[in-house]
Amino acid sequence: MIGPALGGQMQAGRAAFNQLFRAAARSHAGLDGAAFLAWLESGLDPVAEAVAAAAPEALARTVLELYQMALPLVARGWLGPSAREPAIDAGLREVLAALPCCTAQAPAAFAGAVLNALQRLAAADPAKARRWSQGMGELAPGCTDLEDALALGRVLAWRCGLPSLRARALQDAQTLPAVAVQAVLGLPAPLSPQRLAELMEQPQAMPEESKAESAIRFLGWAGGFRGFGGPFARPPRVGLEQGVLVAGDGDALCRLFGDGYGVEAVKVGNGHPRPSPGAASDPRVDSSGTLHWGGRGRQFPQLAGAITWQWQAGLLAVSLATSHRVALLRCPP
Amino acid sequence: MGILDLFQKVSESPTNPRPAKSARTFDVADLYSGPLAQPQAAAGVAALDEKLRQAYFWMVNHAIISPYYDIEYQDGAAPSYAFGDHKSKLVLPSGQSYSSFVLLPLLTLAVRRRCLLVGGPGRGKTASAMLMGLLAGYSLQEVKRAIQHGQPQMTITDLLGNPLPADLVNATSMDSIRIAWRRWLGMRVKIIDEYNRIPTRTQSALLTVMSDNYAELLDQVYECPEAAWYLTANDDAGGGTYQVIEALRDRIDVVVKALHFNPRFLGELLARIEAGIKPEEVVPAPVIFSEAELDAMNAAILAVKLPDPLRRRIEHFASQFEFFEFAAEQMEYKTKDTVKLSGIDFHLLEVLDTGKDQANDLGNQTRNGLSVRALMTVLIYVKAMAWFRGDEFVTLEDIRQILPFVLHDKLVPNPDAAFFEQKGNAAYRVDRIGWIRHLFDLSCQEYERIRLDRSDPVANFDAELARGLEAVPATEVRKRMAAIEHSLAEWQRERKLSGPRADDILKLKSLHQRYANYLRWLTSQS
Repeated sequence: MIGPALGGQMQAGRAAFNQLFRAAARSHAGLDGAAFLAWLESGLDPVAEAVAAAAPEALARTVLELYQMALPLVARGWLGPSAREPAIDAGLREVLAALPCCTAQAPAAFAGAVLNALQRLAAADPAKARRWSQGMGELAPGCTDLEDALALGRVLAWRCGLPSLRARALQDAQTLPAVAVQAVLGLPAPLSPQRLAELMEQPQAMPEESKAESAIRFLGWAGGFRGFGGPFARPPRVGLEQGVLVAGDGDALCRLFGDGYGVEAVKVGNGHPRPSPGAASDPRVDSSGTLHWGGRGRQFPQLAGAITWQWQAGLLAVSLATSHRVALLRCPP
Repeated sequence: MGILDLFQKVSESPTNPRPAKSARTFDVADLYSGPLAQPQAAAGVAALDEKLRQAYFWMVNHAIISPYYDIEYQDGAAPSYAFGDHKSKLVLPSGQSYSSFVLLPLLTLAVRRRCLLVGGPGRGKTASAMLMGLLAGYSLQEVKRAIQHGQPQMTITDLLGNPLPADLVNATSMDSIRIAWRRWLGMRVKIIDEYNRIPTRTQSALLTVMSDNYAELLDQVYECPEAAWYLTANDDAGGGTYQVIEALRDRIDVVVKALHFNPRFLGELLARIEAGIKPEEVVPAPVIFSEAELDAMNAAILAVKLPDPLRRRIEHFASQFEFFEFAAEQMEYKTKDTVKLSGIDFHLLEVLDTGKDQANDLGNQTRNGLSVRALMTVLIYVKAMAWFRGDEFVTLEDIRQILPFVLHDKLVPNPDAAFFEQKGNAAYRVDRIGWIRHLFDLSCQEYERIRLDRSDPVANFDAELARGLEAVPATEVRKRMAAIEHSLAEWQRERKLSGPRADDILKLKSLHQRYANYLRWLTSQS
């Protein structure tokens, strides 16, 4: 059962909407009428109701653009009752309905951006996509500006476990209201401009830490076997490429990111990382998994069998002979 | 894959893949770009050529049922075949090639010029023009309302607007009569359907709007925005209800033919009828341009560079046509324009021109030369073509492909020319596209034969002057003038005077005059 907002629009433009569906069905063999109707009811209806309440003048445009946008996505199984990743389908509905003013401003562009964000988060871990859409739903209703909403989304995605967004998120944090950033990052107090500047300079410092932490900490595993959705076909090696930490197996070359919010391997090209011998004082790992640094040794059983390691700006990457993943550890200078 | 697929999918980027020009900057920090959608807000000016190509491919693949790839580009060896006794040639283009019926109207939208679509009834001329209006962001209803349908009773007020009746009664002066201007005048896409059915007087009013971009009625003026114009005609060779006034024809920048429907595509037509799909009702949102994007496209096209060697080839080609040796005594007036203005039959003077190889002299094939407007249009459209293909520089092939459409109605063939009597050339009497492309090929062959790329004294003289005259001493000026005189003396020995040589001579005369004036000034200073 759909509400009056979407119902009214469907009734008024029935012939045109039907024509759009028929046209899309010709080029998308997988477009099923029942599945699309189900998406209209579950996905578009709550958004239409929210937009009708917040910006009724934009309702017709919103319905039309989202309808058009969804046709190929339902056909390809990204949206609808048989969505391949329910977190994306549910997340889109949740975010668009929670931010009706932003949706009304640029329906297709905003929905497209949210979809891409959800897809990227879900590719790392569907739970991250769920946390992000839930966070957007809770934190952003007060936000009526599209650009602000997208900026808040970036900050939240960083917190949800995409450290590649750290630099951009910190940039955004400088222009967003401090209270909004505080809420998104779950901090007890707003970040001062000085603290933001420190965070930008120290890639391993975290917003909730009052001072630079010096302890070594295992952050997580990045990458993975290509057959399971990761980037590598063979166990990768780590190194430096133009001054940044990378891992590569000869085919895929990934930039490595890691901080207190998570770890990531983002594909940036192809090839092996170039061997980059570090200074004698840099951390090193032996084959038993012992990390030697500053005259001290600390055992990490999960690093046993290490074949290459690279340290850069407080982040240590270690690859193993038996794994398609790369271990990332925080080793502040 | 793009998210905003509608009727049929929009082609995926890149639509014209090229080797990367420079290392692509990868932004890992971009959360909102990805495989599911390309948010339009993120698309910058750099992506507009891609967007125009997507619009082109959407039209070719889904809106126009039987496209013809008559603008051929080669990218390596291209297989060719000859069919029948007369060896009708077909080339399978190895590069990305285009359908002129779709491409030229799209380029017209981008450069905001005037395009004439000609062809028999029911070939999609008006539908194509309407699609341009939709791509420019207007609704189907707006576009339909804005089409001006030419008909014998069309008056100036039908075309431009009406004075408000209350003002007509109460006004004490013309200034106080307000006009209800027709809405189409303010649109960025203007469609005149069957323009050769418009009465002559109304054509004159249309001419003012087309050429000067304003409308005038009862002393009131309406300034129109820059717009792309689409005119249609079933028969542009005088078969309309009214003869089109020459000035109006001259304002048309490109002429595109709507070719016949290939019955081999009947299945596609049937499928479309059965599905009840009308392309104009399902234009994909990703290929619709905003006003700002249309402006940005035009600016980007103008920024495309035309390399000097290619500009020289256009100059050489354009020089072929205006010169007419027996039209006057003074060099400047030896033009076909002089003959035309005199009212004397062109053929009467033509027979005097016995010294040249009539079959191979390019100037002999036309009855006129190229106007400044025609050359400006050539320059703009070749840039648009290069931009559309994603290039920063115009290529020779861009010029070769675009020239025929721009000069289609500009270059009037001389049917009495010996060239058309030669074996294999009869088709050029009717096929203007092929004829003009052939003319350009011949001009380029001549350009290469006389090695103008390697040695072009006029270009050297020109470059010398372009460096400026400031602080150039009198001795140097005299030296340069002597060099010019020497070149002219050399050319005196040539037995035949061609169009390009005549333009070279006049160019040197102009340079010589500049130096002479400067020398006079230098002398007065000392």
